[in-house]
This record gives sequence, C-alpha cells and structure tokens, in this order.
Amino acid sequence: MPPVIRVENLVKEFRRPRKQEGRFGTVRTLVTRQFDSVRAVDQVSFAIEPGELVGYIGPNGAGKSTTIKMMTGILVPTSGTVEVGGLVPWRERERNAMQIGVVFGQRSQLWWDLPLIESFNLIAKLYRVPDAKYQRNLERFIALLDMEEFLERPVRQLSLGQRMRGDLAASMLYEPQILYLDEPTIGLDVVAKENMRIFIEEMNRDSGTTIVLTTHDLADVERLCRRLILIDHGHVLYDGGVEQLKTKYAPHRILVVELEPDAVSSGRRIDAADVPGAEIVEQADGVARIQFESARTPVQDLIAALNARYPIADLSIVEPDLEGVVRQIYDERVPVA
Amino acid sequence: MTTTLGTTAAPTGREPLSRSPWRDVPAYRQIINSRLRTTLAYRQNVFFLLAILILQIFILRKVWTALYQGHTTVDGLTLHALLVYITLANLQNWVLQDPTISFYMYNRVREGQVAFDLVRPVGFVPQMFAHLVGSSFATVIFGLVALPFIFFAGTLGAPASPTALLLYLASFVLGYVITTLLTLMLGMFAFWTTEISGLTMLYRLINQFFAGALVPVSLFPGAIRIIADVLPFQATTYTPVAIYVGRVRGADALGALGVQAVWVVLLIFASWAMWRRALHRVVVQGG
Repeated sequence: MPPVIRVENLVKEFRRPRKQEGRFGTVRTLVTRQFDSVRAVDQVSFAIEPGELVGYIGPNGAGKSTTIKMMTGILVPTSGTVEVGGLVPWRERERNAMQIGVVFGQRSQLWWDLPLIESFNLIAKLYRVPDAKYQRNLERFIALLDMEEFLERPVRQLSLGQRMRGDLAASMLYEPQILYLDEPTIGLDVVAKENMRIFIEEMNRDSGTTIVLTTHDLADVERLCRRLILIDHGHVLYDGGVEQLKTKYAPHRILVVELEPDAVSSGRRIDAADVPGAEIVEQADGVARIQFESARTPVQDLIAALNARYPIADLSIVEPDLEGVVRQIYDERVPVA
Repeated sequence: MTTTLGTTAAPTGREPLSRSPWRDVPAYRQIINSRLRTTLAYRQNVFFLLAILILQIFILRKVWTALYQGHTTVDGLTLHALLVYITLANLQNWVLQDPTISFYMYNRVREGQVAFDLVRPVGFVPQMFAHLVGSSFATVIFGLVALPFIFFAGTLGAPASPTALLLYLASFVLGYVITTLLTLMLGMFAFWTTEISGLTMLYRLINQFFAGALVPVSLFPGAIRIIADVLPFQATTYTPVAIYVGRVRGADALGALGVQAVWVVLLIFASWAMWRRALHRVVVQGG
C-alpha cells in the first residue's frame, strides 16, 4: 500500500519583523520593513503507512506543531511537498478536511457556551455524516469515553479531562482516516491520560485510523507508538522504532546490587575487578549501581560473578526509559546557531 | 460493541466533487440554530443594551419634538413622520448592528481556534455568515420583545403607503446584507490587529451617525451629506426607513435600491479581497 502521508523536503520559514535597537526602537520596528527569517521546519521528510500510529516528538519550538499545521492544510509550506491521502492539504483544504480529524490539546473545537452534545450535532452536520452512522458513532464514543454524565452540560463547565474527551470524540465522529493529535494529554491527570490512551489505541487498532501524535509525555509514545519521529530545530534527528532507538542510544542497563546488612556493617565493598565488562558508577551504604552493556556483557554472567564473591540481599535491573534516551539525544545534539 | 469504523473510513477522502450549493444547508442551519440559542442564553447583557436603545429613542423624541416647535414640516417630513423615522431607524439599527460576531471572530483568531475553522469542510466565511444570521435572529426576537416599550418611548406608525411597505422590505433585505458584510469585514480586522474593541466602538459611532439613526441623512449639511452619500452606512438604515415614512418614494426609491445593490456587489468584492489577505496572513505567516 502506498503511504497515506508523504512529506518530502518540507520547509517552513516565518518572517518576523526585525526589532530595531536603540532610541525609538519600538517605533522604528513598526515602520521599517526589515525581517528576520526563521526556519521552523527544515527539509523534513517522512512517509506514514495507512494504520500506523506514529509519535512525533521534540522539545518546545522544534517544529512539531508547524509540521502538523502543514499536514492539516492550515499552513502553506515555504517549499517541499505534503501529500495526505492523495491530496495537497492546503490546496484542497475543504476536501482534505473530510479525511482528517484534529485535536489540539491547548485548544478546543467545542462550542463553549452550549451543551457538549450540541457541538457533536454541529460536527455531524458540518461533515455531512448520515444520521444512522452518527448515532452509532455517538453511542460508541459515549460508552468508550464515559461521557454520558456531562453530555448535556455546557462545555465551559467541563473539567479539562472531560473537555478533552469531548474533543477527541468530536475529531472522530465523522470517521476520518487520519487523526492528528497535538499534545492531547497535556495537563491531564493520570486517570484521564489513561482514558485518552485507551481511546487512541482503540481508534488505531479497531478502526484502522492512521494517527500522528505529538506529545511531551514520552510515556504516551512508549505506551502507544511503535514508531517515533524525533525532531529538533526543524530537522529530523531520528525516524524509526521506539525499541531500536533505545538500543541505539541507550545500550546500557544498570544492575543495582544490595549487599547483606552484615557485610555492609563490616565495610565490604564490591571491587571493580570482580565485575569484568561492567562499571561501578556509584556505591554507598551497601548499594552499588553497576552499568553494563547487555549486548556485550550478559547479565547472568555478571550476577553469577557477584554471587560467587559477595553476600547479596537484593538485585534489580534498571531499563533505560524513553525519557532518559531522548534527554540524552537532546544533550548530545550540536547547538544550531 | 463490535462495530468498526475501518470499512467506511477509507473512501471519505475520495468524495466526488459534486458541489451542490445546497449541500451545506444543514450545517448552516445548525450553526444558525446554535448561535441563536447562545445569544438567547446571554440575554441579561442584551437587556441592558435594550434599555440603552429605549432611552436613546426617548431622548431623541424629546429633542426632535423641541426642535420642531413652530414648524409643521421640516424637509418634507411632518413631526409624526420624523418621529416614526427616528424610532424605526434606531430599532432597526440596533437589531442589525450586533457586534457579537465581530468579537467572536476576534477571539477565535486571538486564541487560535480559527485553526479549527480552517480544517472544516465548510469555508470560514460562510460559517461566519451563518453565525451572523443566527445572531440576527436572536436580536430580532429581542427587538420584538422590546416593541411595546419602544411604542411608549418613541412613535410607531404605519408605512406611508402599501408600495412604501413593499419597497421598504426589499430595501431592508439589501440593507441587512450590507450590514452583515460590513460586520464581517470589521471582524476580519482581527487578523491584523490584537485589539478591536476601540475599533468596534469607533465603528458603531460612525455607523450610527452616518446611517442616519440620530438625524435623517437628508438633513445633513453640505459636506457631511457628501461624506454620508459616499459611505455605505446610509444604505443600511436611512434608505429603508426613509422609504417607509415616505421621505424617499417613486423613482428616487428605486434609485436608492439600485445604490444599495451596488453597495452589495462592492462589499462582496471588498470582503472577498480582505478574506484572501487574511487567509494569506494566517496560512503563510502563521497568524
């Protein structure tokens, strides 16, 4: 199957009026015609297959939202190609609208002063959803997102979690084949986050919806996405599997070893020579943190070596989490002038 | 539940390009309906605005009655006809000049919700038109509720003739279209500035005066009359109401309707051009 979203050499430059320094700087900024060009998205390329659930992540100002806006047709690219379901989104904005759903976590598409159900009715009409299909989807989403209780309540009285559930349902009522989620879990509590994730998962799995998810919460990506596109300063830093990313950037595991209390009181410490192929990164109060590369040093050898020489009370292995991996990538990146 | 969306989801992007103009009518009706109810939900504020309207009509009646002392007609209008003009002009101007939607547009632009309006299968401008129409339905209802009070505060009277009534209705519709286009353009300023409340107040003041709500345009002195004639505001209020009271009739009335029609065409082009620029600002410069 051909990709449903194709992005090639995508560039978006914004022009900002240059701020004039010195006396009357503000006034001069208003009247001069000098601009600074900022490249928010720089030569980004990727393709997304139908039914994929891709995490699109990066720090603030990395160009995530700008890319999403170009894919939805809200922004016109400076150069490069975007093709979504065979359409150029900004050129055929209204046709493209029929095939995409959009959730911006910071904003709501719901009608603020009216009961939630009114927004759903309006969306059904805007997208020309046949009544039977609308009723079926509505019932399904009310059950799935547990919305019965606040369906008749004006949106302005809803909690953030309730509002976000409403926004998610609104974006899927007309069964778009593609769903863009721009920070859908921002500001939500643990339970609300989990509800959102279950819904996203189900839309992807049962309905085959292609989903692009931008988020700052890497737990979302770890839980939902098999593939991840990492972007910074408008460039793609990584595009591939979540697991592969971890192996590539964080090959190290940490073995945490706790010695028996007797041994601790007698001042025993693990000697670096006893853990070949590994490194003791920290040792205090009878607890040692030993870093090793699982590809080179099998963990069972390490444990066997320790067990033979030391009285061990407890052992645990710390896996790298995506958060740490991504933090490491950001730390290592070359600052772009 | 076993229903899946997948089977029907795929073809939605490949919809045939049969763009019947009636296709989106249910969507517009839904917007109009929702907007009507939103405005009705905020009626407390409207009652204050209505009180201002009634007070203004009352003051204008007192002032004009005083000005007429010793005269039976001024500029071809009897005192009674003039008071009917003043009452109807203010009521009509109030009902049609609803700034709610300009502010609504401004807020959507400022808070970025306009992004959602741009990813709808219905264009932004038609959506806003539907909002304007819904809002007008609400203000018409408020106007009808206020009618008994306005009857006491001002002077209500029958149209000059049956023909005047018919011409008035035609002129009223054209005036409504002009007002709506102007309000739409006022709202679109939001794409360029971060503050429109001052602009809106200025607009209301200029509109009220040049529309002839305080003084009939035919009484304006030389230079101001010329300014009023080249502005679209007189076509929203003065033209229909002057036809109603018989100040403008026959060939003049038809000519005035023609001027209104020209304004409709001009403002459609102007608002379309303005929208192209506004859209360019959003989609190219990112707002």
